[in-house]
Amino acid sequence: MIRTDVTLGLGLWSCLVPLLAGLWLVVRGAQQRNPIALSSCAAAAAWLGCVALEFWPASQSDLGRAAQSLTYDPIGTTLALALATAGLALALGLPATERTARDRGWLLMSEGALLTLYLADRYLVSPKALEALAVLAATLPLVLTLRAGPLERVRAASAVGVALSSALLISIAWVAGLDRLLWLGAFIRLAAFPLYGWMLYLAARADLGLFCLFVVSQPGLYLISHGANASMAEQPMLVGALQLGALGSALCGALLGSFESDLRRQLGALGMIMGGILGASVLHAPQVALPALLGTWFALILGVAGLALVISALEARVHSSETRRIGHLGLDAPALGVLALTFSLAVAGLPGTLGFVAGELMIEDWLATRPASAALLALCLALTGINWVRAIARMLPSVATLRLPLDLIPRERCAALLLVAPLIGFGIAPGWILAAPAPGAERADLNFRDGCCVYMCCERGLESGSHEASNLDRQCPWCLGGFLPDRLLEFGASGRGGCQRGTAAWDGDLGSGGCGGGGMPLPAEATSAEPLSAESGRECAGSNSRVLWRGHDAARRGARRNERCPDARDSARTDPYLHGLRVGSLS
Amino acid sequence: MFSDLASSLSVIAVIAAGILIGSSLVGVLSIAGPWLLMREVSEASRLRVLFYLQLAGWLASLVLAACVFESESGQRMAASIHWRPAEAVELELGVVIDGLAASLLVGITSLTGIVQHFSFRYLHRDGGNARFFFLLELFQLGMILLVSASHLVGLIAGWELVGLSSTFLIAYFQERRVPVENAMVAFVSYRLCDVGLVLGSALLVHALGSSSIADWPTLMDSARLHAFELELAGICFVVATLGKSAQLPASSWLPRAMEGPTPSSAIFYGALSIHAGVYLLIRLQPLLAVAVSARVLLLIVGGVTALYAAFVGRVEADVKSRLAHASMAQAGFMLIEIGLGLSTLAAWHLGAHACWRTWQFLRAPSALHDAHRAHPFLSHTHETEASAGRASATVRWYALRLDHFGLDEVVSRVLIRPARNLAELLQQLDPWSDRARRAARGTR
Repeated sequence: MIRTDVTLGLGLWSCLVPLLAGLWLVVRGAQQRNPIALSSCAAAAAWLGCVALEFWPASQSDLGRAAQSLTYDPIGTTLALALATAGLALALGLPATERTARDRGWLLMSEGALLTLYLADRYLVSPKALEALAVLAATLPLVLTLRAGPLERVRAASAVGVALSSALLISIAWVAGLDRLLWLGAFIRLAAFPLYGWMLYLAARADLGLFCLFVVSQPGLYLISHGANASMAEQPMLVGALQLGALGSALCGALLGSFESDLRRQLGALGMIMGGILGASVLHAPQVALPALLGTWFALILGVAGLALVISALEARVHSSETRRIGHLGLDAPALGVLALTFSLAVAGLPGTLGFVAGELMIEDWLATRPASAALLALCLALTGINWVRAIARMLPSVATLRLPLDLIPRERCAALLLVAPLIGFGIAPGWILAAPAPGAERADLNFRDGCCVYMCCERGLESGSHEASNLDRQCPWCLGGFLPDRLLEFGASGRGGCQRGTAAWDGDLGSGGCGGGGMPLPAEATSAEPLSAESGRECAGSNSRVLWRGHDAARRGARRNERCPDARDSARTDPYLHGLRVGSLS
Repeated sequence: MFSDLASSLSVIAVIAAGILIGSSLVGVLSIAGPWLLMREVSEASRLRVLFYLQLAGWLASLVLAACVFESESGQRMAASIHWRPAEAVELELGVVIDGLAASLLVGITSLTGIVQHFSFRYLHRDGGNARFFFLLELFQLGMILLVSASHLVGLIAGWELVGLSSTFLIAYFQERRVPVENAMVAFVSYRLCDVGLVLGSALLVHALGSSSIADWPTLMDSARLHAFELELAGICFVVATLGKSAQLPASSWLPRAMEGPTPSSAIFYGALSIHAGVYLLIRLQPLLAVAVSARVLLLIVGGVTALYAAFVGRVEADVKSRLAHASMAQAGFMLIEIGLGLSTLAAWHLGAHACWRTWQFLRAPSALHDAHRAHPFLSHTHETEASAGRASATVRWYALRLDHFGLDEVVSRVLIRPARNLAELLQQLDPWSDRARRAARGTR
């Protein structure tokens, strides 16, 4: 299989190059003449690998190759690309200091570890252990390079402790399959109330590039979206409470940022807002359409990286990030000022940027299911914009004492362009980002309904073909949604319902007649099922998953069609699993 | 991806609409492009390009209006671009031009052209000359999008662009602290009230299943909708209007916005920006016809704001502040008209007020000049009012008006101080914060 080989190579390339280059810079960095060039080349190599990976599946069209797409998660690939872009911009644009080589080395190692987390399922069938290791490895550089003052050892130790414990919790829970512990770890990482201070402290003291990667990666949320949200629908109360907590964290960050005058701490508050919004979205899933989540995440990664670049450029010039002390920004460094405003507005959803489209989609989606959450989200975005524009505006008047001696240098301009171009480009034509869940659509076309039914049977210990199992047919959207491929492969390993782990069914070998060796047999019709046509697939309730993935207007059209299928609508309302889907689109 | 034309649209109208939007877009790029490429462009050549682009846009708007008023298909022409960024998401951008939109487009291009021409001399050799014209073009683009958008995405984008350009023009004199702070007051008001626009739009899309503004009236008639949803959406749109049209309690930014250069005050707060909310509500008249509570809210807000602005405006010593309050009062009257269901009257009122107020604002510096020389009515009135205030027993009433009825204090007490206290509390609860440590030491 050529595709597998190429994917394997590209995945390994993207992960290993920054890791090895980072290791080299940390160990032998002092002997390097130009560590910025070396780190930029390594980051560029990783970025090219991610771009190639992102484009590669587009050429796959036949059944066997499309079935291969079941073994990886489209979210990871797209996030890896965003992360690689941010990493490249940071490696290129962060200012040169005495510790440049070592800092760049840690940055590359952290980036490599995170890329491993996102791309591990490209080259491993069961990457859980590697993913867990990557979560820890991505956190370590941040805590190792924390520059705390001599009087702050207790605070630094406790902040490091919280950061490490969340990473440890996520890793252990992920390997052991403990969903609730995973949620707890992810929740600590969100810096939700009352455990939020450590995030602001890390923002103030840590290396900005590393902190940026730490904030934007959100491994806990990624892993939840990757395969641990199957049990969410069974605990709506808990999920609701967690979602409220996540949104509370975002609001808390917005409020803290409103009265913050230090740009670093403001970045920490933005990390809280970002974590809160993404956390609520992931917990909302699969009610929220994946494109909105993915677009928001992508925009925030680039936006936060851009703001980190701006802050580091300011610090390199005036050795302060206190907005009240800096002045003449518009006169002395207009390019830096415009850049700061652009990134500030981009994270808050400036029209013409990716954040605008994604934000609109997300609010619309949330409104369909939880209107109060949508109002809070809109308020958070508005406050984020206010906080950052106010922070930049404070640096405009000429009353402050510190003046910027220099505008952006060419290297910083290039780095900024790397971030601004995709933000604006995808804002005008967001198709590529929003179409990223295409493999999910491929799954829909493959019509795995019965396989899905078997999956749910295994999950709940039911016999295939029984009355309960036939009811489960409506739950197909779970695995068509694109969130659960890994879980789909793994659940059988637990041995529930007599299922064994098996990949045969998902390797394109539909005729194997079972959900894995020795597992529950697939019904005969599943092995010969024709792919659903686009039109027939939208007509009734059984195809709600397709409606879900076709997007908003299509979903609405689907909802109107469902009015003609009252039985389907009622069953969707009463079914606790389907109720966990897009109730708004169904009713 | 592109171009699905409604049958009623003639080729000329499509070309005219394209030129209209394109001229503003090119105007923005003609200033931003050289700056991005770090190339110096002389002021004269920049202004020449802008003049011809504006002329082209103005002619295009005239042609468009002629096409609309000459068309036989119910005075509405539509051209929509199906912007489908992905299989999963269908967004739509489009232009719908009816009589109201065509008239307003002519108004926008005419008034912007006049202000632009005025600014050629007013800001000659000014340090921020290029920035001013960039923001003016951006504003014009935003207004055109806002007025002609057939779908919500375009409308919200135009709305946001108008707000942003307004904010940055208030902070035009960025080296001074007061204009920047005032710009932030305006920005905060805009952003907080824009939440209403976003939520109201999303509510309507959810309820009606379409993001096409042109389809809403028919959908509202035919669909079986929850009255509550419509009421809520109506109130959300009224909240959005409060910010953009400077109505109570979000009105305090308007007098502060006079810190910007006079031409920007004329085009934003005399002519166009302040009427954006009014235009939105005129467009949403079918919704307001159903949402009774929103109409009642409009009557109350419009009435109270008109009274407030009339009282306060009479004691203002600064001519631009006085004009700002007059604009506020007129916008309040327009809201009352919309609340009463007289949207046609509101549209006429809007057009007449925009023209008249632009002239007054552009005339303001000369009026002051004349006042010093020939004692015109502005300074005379002020003297009379002030001396009357001092002489009579209504000094406190005068002071109250001079203090804007304590509106800023009320907003500060109700909104800003509680938020600040909460933020400080959160910071004190944060064991990693220096401030918390200092506070702890202080208490000991």
